[in-house]
Amino acid sequence: MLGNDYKHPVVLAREAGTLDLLSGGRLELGIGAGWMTADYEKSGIPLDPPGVRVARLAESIAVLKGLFGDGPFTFHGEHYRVTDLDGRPKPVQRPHPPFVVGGGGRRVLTLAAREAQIVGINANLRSGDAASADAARSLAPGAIDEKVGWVREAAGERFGDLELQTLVGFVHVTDDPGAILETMAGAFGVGPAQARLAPVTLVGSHTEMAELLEERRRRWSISYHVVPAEALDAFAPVVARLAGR
Amino acid sequence: MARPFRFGVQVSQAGSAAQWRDKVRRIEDLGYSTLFMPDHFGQELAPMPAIAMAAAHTTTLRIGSLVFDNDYKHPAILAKEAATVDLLSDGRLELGIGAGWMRADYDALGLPYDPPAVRVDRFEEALQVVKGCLSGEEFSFHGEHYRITRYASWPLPKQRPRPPLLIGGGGRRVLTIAAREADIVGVNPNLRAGEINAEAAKDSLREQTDRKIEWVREAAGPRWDDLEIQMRFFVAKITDDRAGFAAAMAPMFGVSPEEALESGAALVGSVGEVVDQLHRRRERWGLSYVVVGDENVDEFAPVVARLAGA
Repeated sequence: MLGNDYKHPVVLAREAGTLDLLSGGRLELGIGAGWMTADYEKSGIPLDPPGVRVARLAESIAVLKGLFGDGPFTFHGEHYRVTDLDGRPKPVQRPHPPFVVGGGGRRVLTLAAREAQIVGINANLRSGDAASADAARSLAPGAIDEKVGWVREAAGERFGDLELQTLVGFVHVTDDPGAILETMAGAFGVGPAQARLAPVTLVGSHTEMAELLEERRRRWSISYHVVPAEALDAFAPVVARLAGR
Repeated sequence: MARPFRFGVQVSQAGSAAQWRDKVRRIEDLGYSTLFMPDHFGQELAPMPAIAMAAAHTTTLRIGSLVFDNDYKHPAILAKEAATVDLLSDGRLELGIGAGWMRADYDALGLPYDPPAVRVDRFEEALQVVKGCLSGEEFSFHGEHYRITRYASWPLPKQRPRPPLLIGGGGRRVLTIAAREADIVGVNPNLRAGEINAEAAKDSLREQTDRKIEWVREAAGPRWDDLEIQMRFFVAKITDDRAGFAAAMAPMFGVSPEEALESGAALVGSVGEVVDQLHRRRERWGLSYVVVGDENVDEFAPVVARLAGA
């Protein structure tokens, strides 16, 4: 998703409105607090503590929604100051395109539960490195239970309207998953059966994949799965079987 | 030898996906070279997604910004998006960047409206960052305003060494930068007031334009022959009543009708008169890249048909 710190929300609102308009209302606007240390260091954009980045994201979402709404909008926050601006173009989707807000920590998931339509259940990236052991362990089923619990609690009555999403980073079709599951188990710090449930992986036959996705929906209400481009073909039979069901 | 003429249209709006598709295809079909988007926060679409979408709906039309305001985006982000659009459009981007000028935009965004000298300093640094990014090579840049550390931007643009860089301005300093750094130099009214007003209109008259061209020529040195000179005609009209139109617009410039007609921001007359005028201006100023507004697309089509590539 878009790193909030890379663009002013007024600039982003205009781009999002344009994309939604010119695509005939097909935009899903994914935005996060920003996390990749290397990006910040290389570009010279200051990397503030997580709490500041999340607070800024919260303001940014308020600005985006205000500019997508009807009429002129004013917002005087800690981080952004918008004065009497009627955001243009308005998106085709009203009141606004679905927001995808995701994260791994409680603060950002609470924000997502309150403000987003699609909530991304992700690794905890407080280390600034997606390949860290900390990030991997935050994706084990027990950790996912906790994250979904935070979302449920913060969402309250909204929970039923939310779509929960995960990025399935590793898709591997096989009839003999034993060795792979062992490796995964090591990374997640759990047993092989639990590792297989971790919502960022999908290992097995197409039938087993479909069953795993059903189970993740039952357990966590996760119904929206994003796979990497290289898994497009391998995953297609699962899409054919489950999409829209 | 004179550069061949080409024509651009500066477009800013569409009401729907279908309207945008039809509009950009029509511009391509009529023989215009380039679709340009402005970068403001009024009724305009966002330039980067709009030109990307325009490229997706066309095959040969070039796409560009007239111009990206440097202060709205970090230059490394702008460069990454520009390279992406150039790659995905198969090398059709013309990258226009400016120091920023429209006060109302800054106020709406809550961005500090720094004095012109600061904005231009920052813009000069941004040009180095953008060029560094578009090279694809790892580079570092430690300036007053930007600090880049061992960064190699990806993707590479399709056009090598980079997409044509378009820099426009009306003051001597920016035109000097343009003459040294750009491939396309836009010769514009000076907008130091932060808005388009009578002063800006007067600054586009023939003598003022002569002087700007001199600045560019002087700063460009041997580069002059490689530069494409562009002007955006804010007053453009195909009419058989050139004199009548001139009398009506002259008060806007605060000058005589004859002077108004010779302004570097006006292009008025019958198709034949406009064609003659463009030939004269190419001789006088080196102007070969003619940009009109969305509202002029159809009326200028016969001029485009006669002159494009000639």
